[in-house]
Amino acid sequence: METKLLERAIQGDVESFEQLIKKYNRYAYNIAYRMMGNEEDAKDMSQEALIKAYKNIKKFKMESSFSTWLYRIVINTCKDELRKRKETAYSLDETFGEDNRLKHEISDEKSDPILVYEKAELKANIESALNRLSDDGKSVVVLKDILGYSYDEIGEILQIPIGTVRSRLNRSRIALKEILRVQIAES
Amino acid sequence: MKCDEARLLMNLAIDEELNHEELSQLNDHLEHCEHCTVEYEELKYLKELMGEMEMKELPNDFEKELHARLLEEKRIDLSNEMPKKNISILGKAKRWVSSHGQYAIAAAAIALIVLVTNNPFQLNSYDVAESAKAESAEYGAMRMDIDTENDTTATEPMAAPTPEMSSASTEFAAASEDGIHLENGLSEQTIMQNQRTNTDQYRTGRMIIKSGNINLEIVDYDTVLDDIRQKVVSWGGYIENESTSKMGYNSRNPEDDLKYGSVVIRIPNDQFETMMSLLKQYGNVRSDNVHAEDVTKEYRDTAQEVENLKLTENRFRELLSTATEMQDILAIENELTRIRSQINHFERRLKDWEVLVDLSSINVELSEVRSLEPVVEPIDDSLFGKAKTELIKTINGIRRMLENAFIWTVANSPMLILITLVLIWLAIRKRRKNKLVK
Repeated sequence: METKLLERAIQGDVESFEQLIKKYNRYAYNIAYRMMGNEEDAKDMSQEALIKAYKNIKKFKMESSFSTWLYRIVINTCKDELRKRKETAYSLDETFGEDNRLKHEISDEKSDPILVYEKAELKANIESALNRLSDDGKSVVVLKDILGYSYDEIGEILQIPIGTVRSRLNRSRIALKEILRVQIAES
Repeated sequence: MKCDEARLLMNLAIDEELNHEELSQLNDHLEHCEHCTVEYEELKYLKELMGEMEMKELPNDFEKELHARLLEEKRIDLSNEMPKKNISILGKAKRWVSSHGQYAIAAAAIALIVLVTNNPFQLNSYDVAESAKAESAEYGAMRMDIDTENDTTATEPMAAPTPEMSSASTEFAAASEDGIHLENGLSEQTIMQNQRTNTDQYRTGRMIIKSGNINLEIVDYDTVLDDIRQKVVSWGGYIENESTSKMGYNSRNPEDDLKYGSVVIRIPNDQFETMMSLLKQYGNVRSDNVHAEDVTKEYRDTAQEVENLKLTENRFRELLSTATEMQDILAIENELTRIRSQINHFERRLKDWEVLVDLSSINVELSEVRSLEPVVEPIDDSLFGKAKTELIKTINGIRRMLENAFIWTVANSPMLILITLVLIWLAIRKRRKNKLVK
């Protein structure tokens, strides 16, 4: 069924394409939401990505699964947009990223581990913490922890070697943890 | 095992991507390193928290909006198909633009500087260009003040590429990085340029096709028809179709017959309402309806497509002048023919619409009646009347029967005479035999 729809979508049939992406729409939107951090941008970016997918569907090789290919476009679209925005105006929230500097600076203070906080409190903070992660960091964390992809699949979606997935995830999680800790301690 | 190594394994452990051996190594370390244990628990907790984050629902209008945007995309895509055909020269040109983008920007920038210093209207026109970009959806909706237009037309075509050029070049840069990008910048630029240079060729107002239907009862068919004809012609319209028939045929008095027929008239748009009300005065209106169809959107879309095609055509012409290989020339000429025929096709459609909008059509159906006043025909249904008609019927029946009998007898008389003669002869013979026997 999917291949049939794909064939027709390649010929430019909009309805078939829509059928094809129907079950991925929500995930695409959610990935964009986590990457962009707000609903409006998420909608714009996920739609833009889906349109890009429609225009470039000829280039989709059956090597990977369709969802992998689609999510890659979503993530790249979001990253492009974020990069463009950073170029034009420096964001007020500096993104913490893969910098271990931060970790060392903070860990000296020996603040409480996040385990001591209420779950509700953590949950309230986790979204904004996620938004302050670097774009690359965000993409791995979102794919792993929210969408539940394996390391292999993440490597395929982001087109990076599996070693990079590991180290990126490692750094991002630690960074996220620290951001969360600082955020809660501040509030 | 050191804490750093353990940290690397922790992530893998919580993602269950660790084998037995590594897992037991990690556990060994955790058993006697409190710091790492806390960290491990934290990571596990974090993952749990992330997993509990709720998925957002799609916004309500998401799919609808996407559908509209996809259709729009398809349309642009179709008009962009032609330049993408594999013509080697075009490919080269594209590659040149992508690799020499910076020169193009530089050239455009120089042109801009020159214009800024020379032309007091430059800044003004730049604004216009920007706003045109913003309103690209509403093609042609804005009509520039003629004075400004005259002053700026010279500068626009040169000034315009600057903002677009740079966006196109960033597109290219991005394309080389990610591999999934489009070379759409050029075509957008194309559409935008056309909008400003060719707006006056096309209509800018709303395009509404009006048509009406009216069914009339009239007394004097010929006079009314003549009158309508004259009115239509004097108002600048024409009769598109006309037909007349008679309701029955009375051979004795053909002039007396009632007629019916229909006329399709085309009348200038602004006279439409007047014509409709005038028609209603000719007689009894049995039915009438007016229909208006807004084709503004289709019209503008098509106009845009034509402009797009024309630009492609020009580009091909330029290529043709530089082409040297026979193969290239033939390929380009093929493309040109194809594009031309498409342009013609679309232009014909535009013209059709223009005509339809200019001249509204009214379909008039006329049926002649003896009088417009309602006529009550006396109905003779008294007992005597009925009896009389029945009696007449019977008498007529008898008369007809007698007539028929007479006609039959006369018609068959030769046969009858013959038969009678034979019978008489037979009777005579019988009588003679009887006599002989006696």
